[in-house]
Amino acid sequence: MLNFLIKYRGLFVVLFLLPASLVFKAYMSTRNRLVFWLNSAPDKHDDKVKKVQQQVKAWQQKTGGEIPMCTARPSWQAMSHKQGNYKKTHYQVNVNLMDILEIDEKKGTVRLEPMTNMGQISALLKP
Amino acid sequence: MINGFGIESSSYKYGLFQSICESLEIVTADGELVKCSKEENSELFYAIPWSYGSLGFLVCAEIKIVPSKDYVQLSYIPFKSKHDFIKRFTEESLKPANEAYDFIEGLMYSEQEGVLMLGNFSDKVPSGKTKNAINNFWKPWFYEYVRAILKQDKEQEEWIPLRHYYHRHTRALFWEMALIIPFGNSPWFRYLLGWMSPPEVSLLKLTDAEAVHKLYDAHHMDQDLLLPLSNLDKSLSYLKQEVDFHPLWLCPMRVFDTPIRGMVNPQPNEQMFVDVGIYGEPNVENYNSKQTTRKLEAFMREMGGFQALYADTFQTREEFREMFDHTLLDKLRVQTGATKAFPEPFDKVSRAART
Repeated sequence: MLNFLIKYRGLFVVLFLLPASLVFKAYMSTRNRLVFWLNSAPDKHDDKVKKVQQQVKAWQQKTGGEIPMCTARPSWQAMSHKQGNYKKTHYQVNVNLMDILEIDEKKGTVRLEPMTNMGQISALLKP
Repeated sequence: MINGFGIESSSYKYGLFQSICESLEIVTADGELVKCSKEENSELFYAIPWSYGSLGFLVCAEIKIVPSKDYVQLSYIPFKSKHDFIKRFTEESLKPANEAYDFIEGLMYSEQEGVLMLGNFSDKVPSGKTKNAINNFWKPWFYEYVRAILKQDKEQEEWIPLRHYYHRHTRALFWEMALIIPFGNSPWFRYLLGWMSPPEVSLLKLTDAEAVHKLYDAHHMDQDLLLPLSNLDKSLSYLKQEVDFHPLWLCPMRVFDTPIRGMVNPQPNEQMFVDVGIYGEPNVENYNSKQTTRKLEAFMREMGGFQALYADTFQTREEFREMFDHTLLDKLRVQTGATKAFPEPFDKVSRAART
């Protein structure tokens, strides 16, 4: 049973997930390059943060602060294998922050949004 | 990686990913944007690592860049004795920064056999030396390539393009890809379809059937045990007895003695840890994910170690609070009004809170 499932899964992964991943990765890397090239992320960042702040303030009014908050990021996008049950019951706040903002060569730092991944960072810092 | 944890083979020099953060910005429970660093709102700054979003929404991070070069000059040193391996691994990890390598990583392929990898940044490949772009799609999976070096039992050295080095475990997801695509490392697959690999992990998770999820839950273990380096020998023996899985990933990591102590707050003289990564199906008879994991958790607490929290934790709230120091976090949660606004870490990461 175990072997069958794993074998079957391997085929499914190869036939469907590999092509899907290819499209997904191509889309994401084009998107990331475009965002960085247009340098649109730094301008949008402040607006996006304001939107998070607005949602938090709305949460206080809507729930009276009684239902705790969490991000709206679905579990399948997170690192853990498991799904957090709190995602179903807590107040979801959209935190859509996934871009590199700027590199400060003098200071030797990079400013980035929290959902930036290592691949994005290494691709940018080491083309 | 900031609200939780992130590690690399240079973490014994620079610490965990959160240690190279210069400043952080979060939106707190009252909707305010607060910036913090070592100098500004320093208590908040030291409370955020491992807080799992229990203080607010992280919206920006400023991170130190480590100057790099185009290649990593990597030595592979095979060992046939655990004792010798640990001795060298410990020596290299404890060297002062100016003498130490840039990267240290170990892979144990059985109780006694392993390969130590020591790397330095390098500008170019000297003439007569080998360059190896390990992530080209037709190349074997990195851990299998290293296993072959162990079999040859001969020290080797080669120059790896930097980005290939950093992402050396990406294609095989350490060694988990062998369970997902069992034929993924065979030459025909690599040459024909390797260019499409690896599948995107998030899509894998999205499409996994309930049956696969259950199988993993019952037969699989994903844990990173962060244990003091001084106890590595004992820890490996214990893991052999309770889990019996190889390869094991061994990555040294430094926990800095910060002026304000956060959730990971080891004994004052324990700064050097080892991340022991277990990713696979334990070979012990009657493996039970809950019972075995609980044993490992008790062992970590006894050793003064810590558990990576992307993984299942079966600890009780009290045990969890014994492992992770909540003093600063609790104080700041009250101060910033987070107590009711955000669940505390245990209520997000414990096995009871996850399905």
